Amino acid sequence: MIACPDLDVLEGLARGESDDAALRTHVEGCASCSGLMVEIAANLSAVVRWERLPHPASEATEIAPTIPGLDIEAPLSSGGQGIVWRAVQRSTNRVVAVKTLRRGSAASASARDRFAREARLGAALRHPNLVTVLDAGETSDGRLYLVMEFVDGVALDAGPAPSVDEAMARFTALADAVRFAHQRGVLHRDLKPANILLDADGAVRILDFGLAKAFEAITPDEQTTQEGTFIGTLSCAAPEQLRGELGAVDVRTDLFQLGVVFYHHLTGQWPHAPVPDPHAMLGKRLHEAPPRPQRLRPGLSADGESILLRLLAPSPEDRYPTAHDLWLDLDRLRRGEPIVARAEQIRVRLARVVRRYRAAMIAGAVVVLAMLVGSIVIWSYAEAAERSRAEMAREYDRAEEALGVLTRSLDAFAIGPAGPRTPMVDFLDHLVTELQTAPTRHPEGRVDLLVRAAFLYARIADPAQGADFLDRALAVVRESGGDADRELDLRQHALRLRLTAAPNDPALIAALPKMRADVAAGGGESELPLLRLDLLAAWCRAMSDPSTMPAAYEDLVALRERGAALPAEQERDDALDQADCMLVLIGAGIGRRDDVIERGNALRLRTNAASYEGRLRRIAVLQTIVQTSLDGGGIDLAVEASKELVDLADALLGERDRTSALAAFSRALALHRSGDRDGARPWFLRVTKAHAAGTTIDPSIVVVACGELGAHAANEGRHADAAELLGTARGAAKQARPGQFHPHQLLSIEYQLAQELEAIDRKAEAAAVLREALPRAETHYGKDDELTLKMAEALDRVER
Amino acid sequence: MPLPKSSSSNMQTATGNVSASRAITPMCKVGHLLPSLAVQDAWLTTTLILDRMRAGDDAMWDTFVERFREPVLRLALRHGLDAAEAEDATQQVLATFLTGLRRDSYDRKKGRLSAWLFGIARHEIRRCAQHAQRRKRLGIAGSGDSMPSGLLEDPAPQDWEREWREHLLATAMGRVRRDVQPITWSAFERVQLHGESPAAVADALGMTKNAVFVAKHRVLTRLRQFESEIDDVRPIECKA
Repeated sequence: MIACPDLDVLEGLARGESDDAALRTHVEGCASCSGLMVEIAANLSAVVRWERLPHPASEATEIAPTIPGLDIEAPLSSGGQGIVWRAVQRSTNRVVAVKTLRRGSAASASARDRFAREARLGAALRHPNLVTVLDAGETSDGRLYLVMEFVDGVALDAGPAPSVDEAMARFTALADAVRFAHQRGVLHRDLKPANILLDADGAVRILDFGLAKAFEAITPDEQTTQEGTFIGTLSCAAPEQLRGELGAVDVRTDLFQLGVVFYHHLTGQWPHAPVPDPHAMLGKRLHEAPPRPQRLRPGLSADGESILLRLLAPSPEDRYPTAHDLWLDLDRLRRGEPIVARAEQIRVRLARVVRRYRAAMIAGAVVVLAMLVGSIVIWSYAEAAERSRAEMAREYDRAEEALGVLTRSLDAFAIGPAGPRTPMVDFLDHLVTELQTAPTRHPEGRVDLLVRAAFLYARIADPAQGADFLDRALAVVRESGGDADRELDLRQHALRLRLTAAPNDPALIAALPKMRADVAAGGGESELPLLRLDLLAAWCRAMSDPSTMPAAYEDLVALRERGAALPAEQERDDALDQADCMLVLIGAGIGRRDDVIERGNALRLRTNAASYEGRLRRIAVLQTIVQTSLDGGGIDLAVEASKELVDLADALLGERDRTSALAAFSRALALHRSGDRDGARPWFLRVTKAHAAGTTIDPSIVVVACGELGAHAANEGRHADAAELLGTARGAAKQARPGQFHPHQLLSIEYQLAQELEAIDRKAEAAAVLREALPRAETHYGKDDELTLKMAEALDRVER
Repeated sequence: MPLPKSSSSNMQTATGNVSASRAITPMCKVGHLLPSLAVQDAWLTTTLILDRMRAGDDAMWDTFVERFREPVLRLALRHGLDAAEAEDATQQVLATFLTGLRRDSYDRKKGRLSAWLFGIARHEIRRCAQHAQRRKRLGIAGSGDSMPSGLLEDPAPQDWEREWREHLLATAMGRVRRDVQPITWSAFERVQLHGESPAAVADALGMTKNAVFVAKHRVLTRLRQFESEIDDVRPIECKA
């Protein structure tokens, strides 16, 4: 019997590398060693499994590929993605370049398909400054390849230093090529000196346009960082790439990279010296201004420098919005005209100030920001508007950018209707007028801008006015030939916005059946030819009795059935309205409370977005949950959800807001029903305060809040307070719609009010109240009813 | 070995937020390699998280989201959704999963967690992509400045499988690294990840060669263990 061996020996045995009979005998007989063997074997097979996960291929030596129709000659270069071969196309005798991609990337079938598709997308681009992709495929031994035009040239940074004029001409040519590809929806995402060739004639040619996605499809692990995947060289990577924000990569990313390439070409230096760590690189990008290129290359004009620096702005918003804009500026520079980038620099500087104010903003200085954002946008737009009508087409892009900035600012700073907004509203007014009178070169773009402006306007100022803007967009659609689906869509949105402004306007409610008929007739591409759910919900909210709206009710039931069958299919916004509708159905005795609560809770989990809209949505969901659980679900849930509801509403909208008041009311009701009447009163008080301060609150809510507080004051013997509160409750009850109240509620408030007035010796007022109420009591309850008799008795007493 | 050269720090926070007050699952001691390792802080197996969520413990939701958000999000991003859309889709996927879990439609015996999540994710990502396109066409998309995505295909099972496997491994590595002694991790990292020879590593770290092998297998065993615990599959059986 030998002693237990070391682990390396056991591992050798497990790998089958050693076959020592004595050792094997020992292991079989030794419980400890055989246990270890099992474990080691399991570990080794796990390692094999893990290693099968895709990873960068080892530097295997590549053999020349066999591709039908091509004679492969010799390797030209070897790079990160693979090897480039020189080849001759037999049919045409043309020299081409073949790029084979590294073997060993465990590309799945779908990844290979995607590679081919992306490559074809790149192949569709033909431009004198782009290297054209001719073909793509897979060799018999499973290597993916691309066939490209052969360019006899060197990489951009390998050529001799250019003159400034030469460099600017190349820059313009590159901008033109990038613009060309972008206009066809293709991004490069990996522009770097090595991807730009200087051909024998001195022309610049961009390689691999549109192929970054193709390469990424098959080599996902190449240059993967922990922060996310990006393919690119650190020295040229844009901040959004360094952050790993795949979704943030867009045309402006290419523009940043183009800026880096150009900076390097012109000055021989990188704007930020590359470091191997993406984090550190990002820090440099964000916090270090690149050395002024004019200092490194004195021949460069101030305008040229402005253009270059605008491309290198850390935030995409501060760069040119499109390659076309860049090209226009370069073209203006060539012709000696004033460029936009200079004016932009001022805007960018202002924007930086705004960003610096962000912390203060969050602390509550919404005013400052709103004004700043507003004035910057107006300023930049006004500056743009001064230019001639002939340039109007370009202004669309700028207006679009301004709208984008505005939207993003609103989102970022959660500016809602509570914030002061005059400058922004002025801007939107101005914008809409301009858009309407502009020449119709881009009717489609104009409609889009109008629609976006309308939604923004509705959000920050006035929904009804937003609806008017939508009408104008509708007019434009009709002028330009019409589009039935779009018209229907715009009309529905306009109606929805108007209903938001005036939920009970009879004319709007009356328009709903007609809209329903139009939608049903129009059909269009919606899955069900039904009215928008939010319109149905508004319809339901406006009329409490389902029997008076059979059509909407029918649709709701249909939708509910569909929703119940396919919960995952629901659009999120729709689901919310659906929850609303379900409340109505519950009111009508149809539908299960559990459904609403369950769906509401699922929605609640989903709506924790950081955006303003997201939080508004969450408030609505919570409101529905509280209301539904109050109506017959768990009181505990109502108490818990209402806590979150008021916190969220107060933080987002402020205490004076109507929704916050409603939230406070929900909180009060939840606490009240849970038996915590003392806890509920401060919340009822907030409702009455908001009401007194002029916030529009449904009378029925005021009645309940004031009634409860009044009764409490009466119990405590604070008769004057009680009289005042009950008086308010009475006033509100009289404003309520018929049917919203049981007549008994009003009468009992009136009786209590009279008693309180009597207690503080305001007998004349008490008499007036009773005199007015008594006939109603007699009608509703009859002369012998207890309350009627009590009221008559009280009236007698005070009149005496 | 692929993936993190040093286990990622974000992975550590992804699994490290479980508060110590929560119950500790007894670790099954595997073989003879782990007798001295105590559980250093609370770790919940996925099975336990799912059981608690099903039983209505909403506090588990955050832990669950932290654990499984990443592969879904990456799948969504890979399929052309922008960052906000992908976040939304991910939330939706996990919320739908929770609803299903509470309705008992997830039967652990019938399918694996990953397959079930993928079923939901595939559906949701396709829906979001279509929705995003429609919104863009209507001109009501948020910023409206992202490039139209021409790719509206379904996420492929292979893509998901890879995201899932990578995620399991990365999470497990982050976790194990926290659990073992730094020197144990170094020995594993150098031998297994960097391919250095055990003898050289033993010299450099001042250990015996046998200790290097012990360290390597200790880490590998724990990796397997965590991987299966995260994956909600049957845990490694304890040997008698």
